[in-house]
Amino acid sequence: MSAVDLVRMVNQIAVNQTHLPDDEAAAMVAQHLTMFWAPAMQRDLLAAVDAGDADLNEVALRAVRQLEPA
Amino acid sequence: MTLLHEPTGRRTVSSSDMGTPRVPGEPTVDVEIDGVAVSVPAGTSIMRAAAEAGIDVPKLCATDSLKSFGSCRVCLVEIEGRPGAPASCTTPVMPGMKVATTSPKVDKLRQGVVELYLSDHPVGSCPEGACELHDMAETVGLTDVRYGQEGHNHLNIEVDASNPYFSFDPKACIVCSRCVRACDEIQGTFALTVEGRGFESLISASGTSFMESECVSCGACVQACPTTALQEKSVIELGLPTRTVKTTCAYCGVGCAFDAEMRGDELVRMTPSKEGGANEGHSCVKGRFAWGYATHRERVTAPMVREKITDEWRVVSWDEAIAFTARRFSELQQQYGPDSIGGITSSRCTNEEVFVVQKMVRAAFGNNNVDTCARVCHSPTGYGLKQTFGTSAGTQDFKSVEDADVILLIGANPTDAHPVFASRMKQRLREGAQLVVVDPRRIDLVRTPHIEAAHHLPLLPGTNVAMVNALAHVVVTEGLVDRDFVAARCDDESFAAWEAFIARPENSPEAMESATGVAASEIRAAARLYATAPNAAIYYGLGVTEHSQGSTMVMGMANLAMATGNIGRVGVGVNPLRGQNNVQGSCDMGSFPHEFSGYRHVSDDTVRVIFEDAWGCEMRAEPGLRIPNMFDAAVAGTFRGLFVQGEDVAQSDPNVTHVTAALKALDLLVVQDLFINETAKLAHVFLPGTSFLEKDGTFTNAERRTNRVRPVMEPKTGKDEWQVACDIATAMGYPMGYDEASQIMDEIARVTPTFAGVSFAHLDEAGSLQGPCNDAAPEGTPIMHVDEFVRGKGNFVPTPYVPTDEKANRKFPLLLTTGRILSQYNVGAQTRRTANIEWHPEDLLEIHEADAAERGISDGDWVAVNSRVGETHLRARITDRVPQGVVYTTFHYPESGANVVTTENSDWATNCPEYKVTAVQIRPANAVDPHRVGAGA
Repeated sequence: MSAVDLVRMVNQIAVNQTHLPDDEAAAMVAQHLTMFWAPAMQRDLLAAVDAGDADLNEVALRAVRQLEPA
Repeated sequence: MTLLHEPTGRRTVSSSDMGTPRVPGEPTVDVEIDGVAVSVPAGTSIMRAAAEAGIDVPKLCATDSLKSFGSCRVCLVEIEGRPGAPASCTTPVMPGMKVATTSPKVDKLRQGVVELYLSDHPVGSCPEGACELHDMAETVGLTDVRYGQEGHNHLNIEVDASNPYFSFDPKACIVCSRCVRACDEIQGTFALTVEGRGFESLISASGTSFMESECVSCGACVQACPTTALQEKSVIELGLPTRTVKTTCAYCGVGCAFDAEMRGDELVRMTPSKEGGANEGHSCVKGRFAWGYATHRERVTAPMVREKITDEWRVVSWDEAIAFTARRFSELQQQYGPDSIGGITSSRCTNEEVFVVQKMVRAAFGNNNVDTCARVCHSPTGYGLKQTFGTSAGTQDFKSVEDADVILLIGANPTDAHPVFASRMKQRLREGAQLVVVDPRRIDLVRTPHIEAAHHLPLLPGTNVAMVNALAHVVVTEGLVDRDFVAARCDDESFAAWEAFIARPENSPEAMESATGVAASEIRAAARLYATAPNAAIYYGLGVTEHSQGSTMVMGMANLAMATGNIGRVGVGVNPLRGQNNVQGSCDMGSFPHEFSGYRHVSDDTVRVIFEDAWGCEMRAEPGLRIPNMFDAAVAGTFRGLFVQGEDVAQSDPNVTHVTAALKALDLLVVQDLFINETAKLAHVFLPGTSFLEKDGTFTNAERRTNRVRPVMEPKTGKDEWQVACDIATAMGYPMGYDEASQIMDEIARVTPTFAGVSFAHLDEAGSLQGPCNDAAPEGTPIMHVDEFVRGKGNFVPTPYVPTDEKANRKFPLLLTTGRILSQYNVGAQTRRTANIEWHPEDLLEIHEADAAERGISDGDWVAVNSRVGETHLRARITDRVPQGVVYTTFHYPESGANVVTTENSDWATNCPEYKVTAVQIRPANAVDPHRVGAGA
């Protein structure tokens, strides 16, 4: 899937957790991705991050790093 | 004049009529009627008490759906110790009262009254068996009428046939006012009146024709009419019905129960059922009248296939269509992997049909790529209510609104989208309940006959969360929290965190004023009204969910309700008004890619085992693709085949340019529907579906009420719709079959705890059942979270306001929002194929006078609507319903293409599209049709 779309979505999830400290917010985002994103989406997002194609905000980036490769 | 026929009763299958409404309370008043002792609640009419004792008092103007009126003088009785003969409908019982409903005196009086009526209502003015007056003539023993028709009469007044569904023949009218009262008391429109005095009295649609009047064509007047003065045209054309099938409407989420009245195999009329828990005898123009689409000439009833979407359709047998579909799906999985295909279920279909499609995906396709059209409407409700209360369900039954003192209506327009519930709500508002409307647009309920909202908060589109936070801020900072409720029922830690968050100055009405555009003083007043009411209830619609913070807003409302103690009893609650007839059911049935039926996550090992044991195959533990993810993956080339059950995604989903590109990229698109809709035009396989008149199953409405849907005719396709998914699964190597639909519900009950007590037999016995229905609640659950929340303690979730990315700017300075209109339904596939088009032949763009003037636009002009993703053309309607800076349209016609301009923005948690906020520019345009102009236009 398009890295642009995936990045937009994960950044949006992250900015909706601003009431939490960053570490808790990142854990919340990671949990959300695990619970609601298909493995292929997680995989494509990780690939985009690895390729340096993902302009993620700080919380989103920390969340993605918590994902296990699907 | 002699009565020439033997009256047989009007509505062949109507329920017994007790004459006046039930009075609530204990039966404390003992009376004797015709020697029969009966006890009834204080305030009960003699007529009703008699009916309770099994004695029918003759009547004409009385009916138990309307307050007693006392005009016809047919129901006279004698009361021991009292002079005269009072009307039994308007005289309440008193302790020890002894009543005679028949005596030489009252019999003679009645005969005289009925004879006078008949002098202006001769035999032949109503078809045999269709007139209560003629029935009464027989009941009171009248055989001859002494008066001819030579004198002054009403026999030459013209029929008003302007309404497409019913006519008004004043010749047959006895001016009993039942129609006027039905319009006032039940529907709440006040469109009818009695004009003139004495003999000149006539029923009038306020001085004009029915079609030109304020009449909303709900049909309550037609149902109330004791003669045939108001009569369905279908009855005039086809004759009186001879049998009845009880079933459920297939339009909105109210889920009205109906008697489908048949003559042979032909449907003559739909009469709302008094026993229907959701509607209690009322209906709207769609449910009662707009069912002709089921036999529309454009309906396709044979399967069709084609290799490429540029080929002509080829009509094939069911066997060939199934084999073609199964082979192509299997080939795609072999070539591109098991996750390359998926399915979409429909909230217009029955629970049983939805269940088998999601089972086909999970068991035969072997993945979790199943989603439902609730994705684009109420998926944030599922997320938000699960986080806070523990389950995705509205908290109340519809009847609960009768006990609400304050109604907070957010992002919903019930008089158009949920009209039967709106009538119930209006009844309560006329009794004195207060209303707060949160909506950018001035919906009818803001000011309508005998109703005026205490507060209308016309917030800017996209600022719901700012608004709910401001409301909650007032509650917390002005000491309006229900501390006892919170302490007893809610999680302490989450409340403390939320309280600290919401009390921050940035959440105050004053701080949010610039975002919402609503004066802080109004927000404060509305918050106080809600928080201090004995019972305050929240009702909401897609104006809440279809935003980038739809889920946040749902949680915000749940927080507000918990903080004020407005959960867990009658008259309160958080109530989603679901868009389609079976949104609740399709979600209950496990249509989402991350959860099985009963909202249980696919990663839960204990749950997966239940399904693996039941279905004999392995279940995947990871979520599948959501609808927008499927489209993105199709464009990317990783998703290749899609089964679409009863949904027109190419019209209903946002940014149709993108959707169309995705559908065109598929190697196999299978559409199961009634018509060749916009999606089917891009399909390789068309599998004809069944209308609700042919279905055997259940729908679950917005109040969690599961109703039976019973077939009134054989499937016109030759195959039940659930059978099709079973056949495809079987052809793909996963044997799946049932003898009848009830077996599917039995399986649902076995694997779904909230449906454990549901079966067709139980539903047939109970009429309907509100979930959860199981051993803990064998007769269902009208009100949720009474003693504790489903999750135990209520969970407060902080709801930071994050403005949408979709902002008005210099290039796109207006915000477009969308909604429904009464006469049409969603993408219009059904209602556009009925006479309802007479009320709404096209979608219009509502625009404020100042915005129109700035652009040189006059009322009725064609205008171009541009967003950053597309352009479409509509005609303008200049109105002050929308504030300056906001434009509005409906989305019932593919030609108007509202979703050509809506964007890919979606709710952060669920990907529910942000239909309600699109930055646009408007300019005058020609009537030429530039539809489907994509990005860059």
